[in-house]
Amino acid sequence: MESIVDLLRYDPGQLPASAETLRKDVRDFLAVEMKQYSALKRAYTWDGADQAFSEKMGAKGWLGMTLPKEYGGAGLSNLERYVVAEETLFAGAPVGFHWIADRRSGPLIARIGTEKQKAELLPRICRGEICFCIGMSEPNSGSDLASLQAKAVRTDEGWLINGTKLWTTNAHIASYMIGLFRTDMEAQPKHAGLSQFIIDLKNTPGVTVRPIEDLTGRKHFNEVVFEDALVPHDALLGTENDGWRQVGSELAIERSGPERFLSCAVLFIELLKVLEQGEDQSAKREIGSILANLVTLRSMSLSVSAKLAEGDDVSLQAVIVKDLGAEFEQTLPGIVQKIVAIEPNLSDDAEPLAQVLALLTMLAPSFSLRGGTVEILRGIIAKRLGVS
Amino acid sequence: MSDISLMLEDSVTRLFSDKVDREFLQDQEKKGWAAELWELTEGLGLSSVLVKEENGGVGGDWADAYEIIKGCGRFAVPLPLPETIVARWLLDQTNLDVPEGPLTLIPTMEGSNAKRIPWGRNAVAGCVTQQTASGTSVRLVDFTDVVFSNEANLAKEPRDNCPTTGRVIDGAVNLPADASFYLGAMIRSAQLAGVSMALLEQAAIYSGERSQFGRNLNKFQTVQHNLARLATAAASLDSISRFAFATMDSAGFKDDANTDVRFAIAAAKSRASECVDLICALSHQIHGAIGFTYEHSLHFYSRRAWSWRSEFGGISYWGNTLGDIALGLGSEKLWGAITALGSNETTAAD
Repeated sequence: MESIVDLLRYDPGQLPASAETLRKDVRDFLAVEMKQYSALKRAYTWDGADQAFSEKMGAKGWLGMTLPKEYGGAGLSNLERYVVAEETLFAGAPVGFHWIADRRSGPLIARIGTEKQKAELLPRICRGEICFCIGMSEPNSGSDLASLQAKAVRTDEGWLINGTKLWTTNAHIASYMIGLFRTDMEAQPKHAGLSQFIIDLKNTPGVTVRPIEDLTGRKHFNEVVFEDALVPHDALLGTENDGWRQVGSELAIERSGPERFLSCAVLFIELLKVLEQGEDQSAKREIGSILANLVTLRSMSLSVSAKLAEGDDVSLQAVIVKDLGAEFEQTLPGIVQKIVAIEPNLSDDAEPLAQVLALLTMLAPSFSLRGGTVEILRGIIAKRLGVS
Repeated sequence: MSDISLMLEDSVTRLFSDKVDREFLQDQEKKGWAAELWELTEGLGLSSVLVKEENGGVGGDWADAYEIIKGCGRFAVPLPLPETIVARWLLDQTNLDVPEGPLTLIPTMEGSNAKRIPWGRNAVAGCVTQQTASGTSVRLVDFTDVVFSNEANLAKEPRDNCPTTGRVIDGAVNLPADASFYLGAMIRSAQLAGVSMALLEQAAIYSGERSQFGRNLNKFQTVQHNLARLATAAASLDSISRFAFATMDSAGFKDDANTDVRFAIAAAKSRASECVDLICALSHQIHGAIGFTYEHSLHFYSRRAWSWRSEFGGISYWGNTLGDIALGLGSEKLWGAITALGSNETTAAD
């Protein structure tokens, strides 16, 4: 067995020289596009969705960059995608409409989809025309994903789907869901009988999407109910009953991406703006500490991205980025409170820092829930290190 | 990763895991200088890893040096090998002759006194970069006949004071005046990355052997999660320290205008120093009372971590330094500086 020291290795990831030209183009584009965006609006980062913005990104060639050229992609590595992702996140651009399609659905379809699925969907993903959502959790299956109950039954006409998906981000604006459903009711262990389907949410009778308000009052995640929803046979993605493995294979990119430590970047920048106006230097050390954490997380994230581009297995390293990133982002609002005497305030005429602080204080609990809870992640880490 | 790196990591791991065990460390703490171990490292050429081949060295890069220095931390190696590696590199940039034997770095000079010199009494000479009328010099202070007042850090590693009355020679060098201090901080961050791995490894082993309430400690979810947190912190130190060494390779440290290396080293030492509390606390907690005894080996690692975090600048110093960098760049330029790290633009200028 590999030693712990080898398992936890983070070789420095270097971006290719071409990435820097790309970075400059993205920055120039964002400088124009983001001009009218308030700090509060930027603070939503990948929670903010704007189809028109995504289409502009698509026109620039910055969506589906890792997808094959024949399907509208650029055939580039994940490192180029990384540059676009971190620049748009740092700027607080409304990337939500294309985020899931660009990060996960597109690459997954390209890898395991049928020729028809690829030809139909990938070019539209690259143009920023379609939004995807991921149907995983259910009312009785949160972290215990293998226990999910919603089922798809093969009939002569197609797959008949029944059940409920919950916490499905962007289902209310998405054209498609890639959902995980039980296709073998008898399978043991439970995760063996699951399959993935691409479901046309807008044109499938029997699908009801009900938005759920989050604690800030916004609606971005949903309950999706399937009542005898019939999807064609070719809606199956990949191999029947191989859904669990298919879902797991793509997780390293999203667990280690810049979204794991840049969701609060707007808060850090607004804090700096306030401090650089004043004479008080007492907060310097705290600022330095935040920066050290940020640079460290980026070094880890970049390391994982470079390894993924080489095709290495860095799933453990990726999980660690997500765990540390969530911890960092969740402590930031508290650190701001230590440095500046400020009250979180969402009023229109409040200071930008007060507004951003208000929003991120309330969003922070989600950082260690979405995409795998901290408890699940730490369980994975312990298991992979052989200490469980 | 280069072949040299792999080979070095392998031979360092083999040498130190074979020689530097609990008995050795207990013995060394009583008797002092580990002459035999030093000779073994010299036999492998470890201290000359960064010296050019034409000057008799290995001709490796900083990524190679990282493997050795991290190994020194992981195995609590009681030698000034990291300091000697940097001192030999500094001297190799000058036209000065490189003395035989262990060298060290002089962290701070107060007038004609040098304070808290690592392994001062055991080193033949100490190096420090200083501002002179004609630019930066590497100052080589000969320790022959120098009388030290002996002090030590928490791990009983010598940290000695002396008047710099020894023979001093200067060699001009194309480096900023505070280069030796920064590089001192960089080697300590690598040692901290290594010692953090040791604190994790020991906790992992112990929790798999010790049984309470009828099962091994690592079967308790609380303990598993503590081990996971310990691992994530240790991993982050490996990442940022490696990154700092890689930045030395890609961006160099030739003048004050290049901030990449300063930024990366400050981030590495700041992060490393800040993580020491969590890493030591978790490893000790998992070990329970036995880890608090002298008999157990854990303290050889935790006492080093507690000392190394403050040497060549600690949480306060590097936090303030990074804060200066952040506020100096300001909200407009900071992101550009962050993304310049790890980019190939700096390499192009090299």
